[in-house]
Amino acid sequence: MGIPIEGRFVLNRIGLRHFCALTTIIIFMTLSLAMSASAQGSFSTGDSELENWIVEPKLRFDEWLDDQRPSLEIAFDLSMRIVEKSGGSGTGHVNWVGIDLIDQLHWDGFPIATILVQAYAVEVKDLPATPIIFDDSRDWQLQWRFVYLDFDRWSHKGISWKVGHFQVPFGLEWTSDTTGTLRQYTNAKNLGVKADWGMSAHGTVDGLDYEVAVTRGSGNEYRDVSDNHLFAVRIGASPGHNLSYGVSYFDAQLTGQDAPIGMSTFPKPDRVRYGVDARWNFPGFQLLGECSRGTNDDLDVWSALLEANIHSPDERNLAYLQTVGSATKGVSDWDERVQAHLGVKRLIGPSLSLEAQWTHDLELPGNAPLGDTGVLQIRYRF
Amino acid sequence: MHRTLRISTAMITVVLGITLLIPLSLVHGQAAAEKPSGGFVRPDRTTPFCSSPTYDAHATQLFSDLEFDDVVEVNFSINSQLRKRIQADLGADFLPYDLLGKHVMYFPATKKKMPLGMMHFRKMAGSKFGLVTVGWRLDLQFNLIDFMVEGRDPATIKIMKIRNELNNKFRGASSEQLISWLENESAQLSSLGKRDLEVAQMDDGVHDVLGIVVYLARLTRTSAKLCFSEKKVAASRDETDETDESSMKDHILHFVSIPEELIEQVVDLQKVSSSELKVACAKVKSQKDEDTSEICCESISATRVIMSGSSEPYYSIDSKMQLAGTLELRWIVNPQLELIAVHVLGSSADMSEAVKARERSALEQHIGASWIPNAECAPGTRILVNRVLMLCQILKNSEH
Repeated sequence: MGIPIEGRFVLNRIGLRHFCALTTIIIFMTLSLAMSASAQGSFSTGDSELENWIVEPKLRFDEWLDDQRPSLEIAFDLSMRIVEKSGGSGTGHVNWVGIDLIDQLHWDGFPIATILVQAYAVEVKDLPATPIIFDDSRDWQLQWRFVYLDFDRWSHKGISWKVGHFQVPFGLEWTSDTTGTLRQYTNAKNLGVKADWGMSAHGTVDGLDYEVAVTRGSGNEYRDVSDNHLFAVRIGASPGHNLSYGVSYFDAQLTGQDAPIGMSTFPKPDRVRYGVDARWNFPGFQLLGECSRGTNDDLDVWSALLEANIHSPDERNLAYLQTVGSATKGVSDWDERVQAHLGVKRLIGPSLSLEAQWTHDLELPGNAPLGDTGVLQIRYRF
Repeated sequence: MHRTLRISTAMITVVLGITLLIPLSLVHGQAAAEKPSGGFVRPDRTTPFCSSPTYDAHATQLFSDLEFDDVVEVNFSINSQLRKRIQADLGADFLPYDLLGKHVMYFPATKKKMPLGMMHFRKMAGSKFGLVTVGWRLDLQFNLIDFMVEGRDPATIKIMKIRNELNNKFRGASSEQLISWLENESAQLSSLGKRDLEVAQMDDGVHDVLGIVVYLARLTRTSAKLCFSEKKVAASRDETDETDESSMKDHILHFVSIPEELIEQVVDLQKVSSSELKVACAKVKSQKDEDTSEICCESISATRVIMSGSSEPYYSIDSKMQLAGTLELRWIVNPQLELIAVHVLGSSADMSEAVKARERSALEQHIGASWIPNAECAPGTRILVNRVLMLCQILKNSEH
């Protein structure tokens, strides 16, 4: 039957109010970020008293650690994300506190492996769509980002071996740093998994970067449900050059559990994808593109992303506009989802980053009502 | 209502887009090279460690003329104190924002861990296309040998095409010459630099990137010298650093302290066992000559340096000298028991750079000296030389 006309009007009024509030916040944030361009000099030359109070003990700890074990580095990562969606669903939050650790293991004077541990305690509160790794709309979870041992002793010979929880090698995501950032590519939603437990061989041979991974297909937690598995490979050329490109292949039988953040359901765990991606650089801006075709169980799917971004020469300021589309072949037609993301990111000083992103639905499956989502993030790593 | 919402959304998208893009375009217009970006007072932590790049694969490119089996990575830290020394050495305010913090020096090495040189990589903001990565290869005397430059700027490819010609200029360039190739000690190529490097006819993009290459040549050489020609001097034996990494750094320091003309002949380093050293040192102590017998055995370590062209080993002796602070020295002695090199390994924090330089110069005057028995009225530094040579003689005798 749907919502009565009056009820729908009330909902829309609430939605409009939230939307206006969100817009005000985003504009305010944008202006603050823009103004911080000129203020960046003062931000970067010295710490405020509050910052000194926060980081001084850690700096002393770092100095001690450097004496004890020069290869070991530890950073604390704190972040607060505010999510507002039009339609009156209220304000949601994602907060996290995490530890990021890297070290090198040596054998007979030679480094044999790099160990990386990124463990995060993540809290969600009233998100428009709570990821299913959380039991409730207000919940805490331990999230493993990357936790791996990379046996890289022979990386200069073109081969390293990684074991643990790491990024699935596919598409643009593989060449970009998207850990804990608002700017994301398609892997989480398109593949159903962004990082997974398993092992991979990777390296660079004759200017070609490659990674071949065999993993569990269970995402955040290691789970052996039935025959769940994942195989992914990406080969790319010239990542540091003006034009770079790559091809990827993905074949997985996922557990159907632990959908990544940003995805509320996990309907089709048997997935195959063929993908191509490219990155083209011009003075001051970049064009990035990615598309993939494949199947979810027996249904045909496609996914595509186009991004234009501009960045400052030191790459500490970034603004981007993304259009992301995906579709599943229905009985008679394609069910398409198209969204536009407009975002900005600024790194201020040695620890602080500010990000804002606005997502606008251009098309949703089943004629679902279109909406807008605004997200602000403040992150402090020290 | 939905329609209104969508129209306002579209309008705000456009307005917000313009608001976002314009300030960034303005910021972009100012080349980062023009403003000092090294203002941070502590290491940059904004990026997760997983995205820290590793560069050992570039050894095949930068050391293509040599055969190596491994690439040894040695971490080194640039703290605020060292940053000041680098800044003073370069005589410039302009430093990259990521100067502070952990860095990795890569040493391609043979199976027996003989380092063949070193390479270091750094990123710096270009003027149009974002960050430029420059890797410099140095020999063990910190001379510039080769470089590579990588980035989204097409100028990087043009520079790599004339790399051999540029290397010929860089290899013979003195520090003063490198300074003169830059505009006001920034990372901008001067007109003299364009002329000397024979790139005046090339486009501005090449000049911009080449300015960064020259600037990083100086920065890499200075920071490598300060970090790898010296080591931390512990105030007491308990504080001695025994990690795998520090022992590798010590190992590499051996090669830095060996005279350039001998390095290629080094086949192996064999540390003298503590029991053998104890016996040898006791023999020096039992000498009638009072000056020689006052040797401080606790602070001495010794290594036999095996050379391909010599049937007998060279000796490398480390000792400490107490002045206004502690000075740690490495003495290199040939099989004929002549002092061929003396290297200052480091000093304690309380010793000034001026005192260190003065002592270094006093010690270097004894290069070429051989043992003088019962050297009466010898200056203090000559007594030190005598003790070391005496110790080497005893070690040599014990081999037969």
